[in-house]
Amino acid sequence: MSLLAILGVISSAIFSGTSLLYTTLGEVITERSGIVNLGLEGVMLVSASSGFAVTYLTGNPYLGVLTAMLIGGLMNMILGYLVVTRGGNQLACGLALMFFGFGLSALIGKPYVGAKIQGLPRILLPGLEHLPRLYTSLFQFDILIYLTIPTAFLVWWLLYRTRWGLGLRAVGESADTAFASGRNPWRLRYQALFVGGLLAGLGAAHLSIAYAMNWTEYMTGGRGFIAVALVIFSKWHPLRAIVGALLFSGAVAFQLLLQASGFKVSPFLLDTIPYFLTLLVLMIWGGTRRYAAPASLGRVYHGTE
Amino acid sequence: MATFQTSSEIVGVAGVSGNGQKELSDVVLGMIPCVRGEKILFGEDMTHASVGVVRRRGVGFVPEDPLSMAVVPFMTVLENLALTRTWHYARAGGLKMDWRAVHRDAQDAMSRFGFSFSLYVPARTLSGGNLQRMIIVRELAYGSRLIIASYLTRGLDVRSTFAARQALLQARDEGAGVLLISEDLEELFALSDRLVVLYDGRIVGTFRPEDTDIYTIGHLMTGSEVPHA
Amino acid sequence: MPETTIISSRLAGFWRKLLDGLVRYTLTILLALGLFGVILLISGRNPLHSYRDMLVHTMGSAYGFSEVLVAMTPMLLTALAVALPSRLILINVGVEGQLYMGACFATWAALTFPHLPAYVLLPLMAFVGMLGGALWAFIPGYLKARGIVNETITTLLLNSVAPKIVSFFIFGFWHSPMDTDKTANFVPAARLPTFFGTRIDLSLFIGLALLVVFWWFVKYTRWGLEMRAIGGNPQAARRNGIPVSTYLVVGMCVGGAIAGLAGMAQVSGYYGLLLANFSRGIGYMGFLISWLSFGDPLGILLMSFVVAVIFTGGNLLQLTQGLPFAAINLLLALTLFVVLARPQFSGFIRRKTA
Repeated sequence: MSLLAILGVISSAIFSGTSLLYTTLGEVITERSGIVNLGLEGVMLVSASSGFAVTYLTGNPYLGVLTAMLIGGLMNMILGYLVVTRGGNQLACGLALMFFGFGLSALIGKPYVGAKIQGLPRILLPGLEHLPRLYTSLFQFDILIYLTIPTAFLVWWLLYRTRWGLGLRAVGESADTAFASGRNPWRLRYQALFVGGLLAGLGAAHLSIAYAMNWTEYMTGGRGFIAVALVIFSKWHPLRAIVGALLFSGAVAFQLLLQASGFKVSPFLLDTIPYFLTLLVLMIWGGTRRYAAPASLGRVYHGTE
Repeated sequence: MATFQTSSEIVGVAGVSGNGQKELSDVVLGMIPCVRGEKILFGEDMTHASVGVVRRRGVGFVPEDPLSMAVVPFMTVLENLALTRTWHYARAGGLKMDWRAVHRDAQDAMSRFGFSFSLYVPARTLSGGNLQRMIIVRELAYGSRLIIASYLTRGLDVRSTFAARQALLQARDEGAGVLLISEDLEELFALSDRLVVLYDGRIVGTFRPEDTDIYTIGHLMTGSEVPHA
Repeated sequence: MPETTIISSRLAGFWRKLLDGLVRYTLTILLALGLFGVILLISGRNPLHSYRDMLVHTMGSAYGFSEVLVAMTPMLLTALAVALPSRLILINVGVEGQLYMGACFATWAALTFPHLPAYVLLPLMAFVGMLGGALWAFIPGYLKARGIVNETITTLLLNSVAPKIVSFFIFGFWHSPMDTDKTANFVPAARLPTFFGTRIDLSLFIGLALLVVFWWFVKYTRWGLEMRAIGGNPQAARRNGIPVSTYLVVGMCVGGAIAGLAGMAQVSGYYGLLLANFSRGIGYMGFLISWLSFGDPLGILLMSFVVAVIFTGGNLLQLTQGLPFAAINLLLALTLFVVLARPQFSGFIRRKTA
């Protein structure tokens, strides 16, 4: 188990975990306002495909990233309309959004299957220039990767240090009380969804533009659902999500490490560990209300009648 | 908590709302588990019995808010009447329900108590008084040996109040024991054979109504000392 | 007589409800078709041709129609798997995972006992398939009954685990010599019999039978009554002596069993082998169908049929219009959106569900 191998695992986890982390941060915001987005898979797919298409057409990856973010926000607005304005059931609407994303992304991405793009430039982690090539290649990250931790702190700051965040969390705990104290639950939820969508789009952009640098159908591979699980695992807190994302995406890389040191565990089984851990966390700390979930998560707010 | 002995008598439980009444009825019924002490009903130890077992032994419960606590609002009156004794009306091992029998028993009970309400409408459409009548039919008429009546007549009109009290007395005369939980001292004094005062989750006095007065009970209910005259 | 007037006014209400429902469904479909048509236009295809092709292909030929039924069957079963627990207000989103576990267990039986005759092997596979699904649903059910964790969350988590477990078995032990992502073909004894020279297999009839059983069970049996009571007012049901916790666990397990059966049908009937990640949302679609029909058997039948028509038609669009197959999800999703948005075509208020 050489140092190189360990570093390789960490590097791999960082690379693949970035898109997961962004999406999770977005979903933390959304769920904090009381809405579960089961359609994240679809949102990510549409963002990834459109971002990739724009990057291919314009040759400008930054434009692609911005497009992906915007599309993500817009996709979430669909959920917002169905759930907030029309009062639809969150789970059903989210799943419908997922199918919508399956279809739309396939349509958008079809002409670009197999296309190659330049992707985001990778910059070496400052301070490591003198290391041998073998090592430095592991730590050449694109800008989105560098921005993950700051973004997590930004989200934390938004939720806990701004009035907007306070109102958001109030809506998530009790929409009635929030309404009574003068906030507009509907607008706050729309805003939460939009910001959440921006972040989900960012995560998707990293996947298709910076990490894989191609487009295939269903390329998100369940990340949307993993994000939902991660939000629970991090107990709806943005900073804990960092650990969670590393854990979840590290499992795959970790199995390479284990294999290298002689343990032969199936990567599939290893992949399941984060979920069981989440279950364990839930069983110990309660997954329904106390201490963790925003109280009005999943419920429709009808306003005072 | 103390153990009661009731058979063919009405034990009134007086107390200001919020002093343990709901807990008392729920513990007897089995909704809340018995943490300390034991619960003995009809000579059997039922400390850990489930609600189903308690009910089968013949315990009835008239709750203070039937629509939210003991009734399924969208189901019909007839269906609600069968809910406490589904095992009694099930046929072919549960594959069928004998609705005729439910209907028949309901009609019998209604005529015994002098009630009349529609059986085939959703329960939530009944008036408060009729809803209480329905509950009374269900809990009192079918051979219950112990009846817990919680705020029996709260929110009822005069006629329904009268009807409810009559039904309670009738049940008592037929051999049932009754635990009447109420805030209405007049009602308690009028109906009870024995009177118990509940304050802060404990029993702070046991009396026979003829030995005491509203004044004393009132004092005990609010937790203040009873001045010795 | 008061009873007859109640009955006759109920019948009149029934016809009005039927007409109302028909109008709403028709307008819903039209709206969704319109939206999809716009998208087709934007992507340079002819919507009218597409729709005509779809209809001709699915309803115009006996084989086409049979294909619709084949596509309908798994969704019918998964919708049932959601509908039963939903009577207890249990949200079984975990059908996707239970489906996989059922397929997994059934595959084990098929691969371990290839020499058994069909009339022994098939029931065995069905049994273990249902066992697998029930086991997968037991954990969320138990946690919910004890009030520890919400079943929505647990089932979602387990949904992600199940396909990985299936992949583990395939890649590790069961894969065919030629492909690593699927098993070899099952022996003929492990395949569900097909009918009429089409791909319709026994599972369709089992599904339809289960639908009828479900309807009758909830409406007429004692347990159906108690389940409806729990669904209507769980606190009251408990006060009346109904063992709510038991029902919650058993309800989830039965739902899981039905989903497991659907999984068995997929590997034994449709595919004839176990393929990694074979389900692209059959379970979730079943959840949507059940939820949108409010768990009503007739609604489930109709909706799964409509969805199946869309799916099967999409197959053809792939060939005639060069549409990626996944695009058909778009039409599906648009239909769902329209239904979920509850447009007030008429003044009919449906039951509010959170």
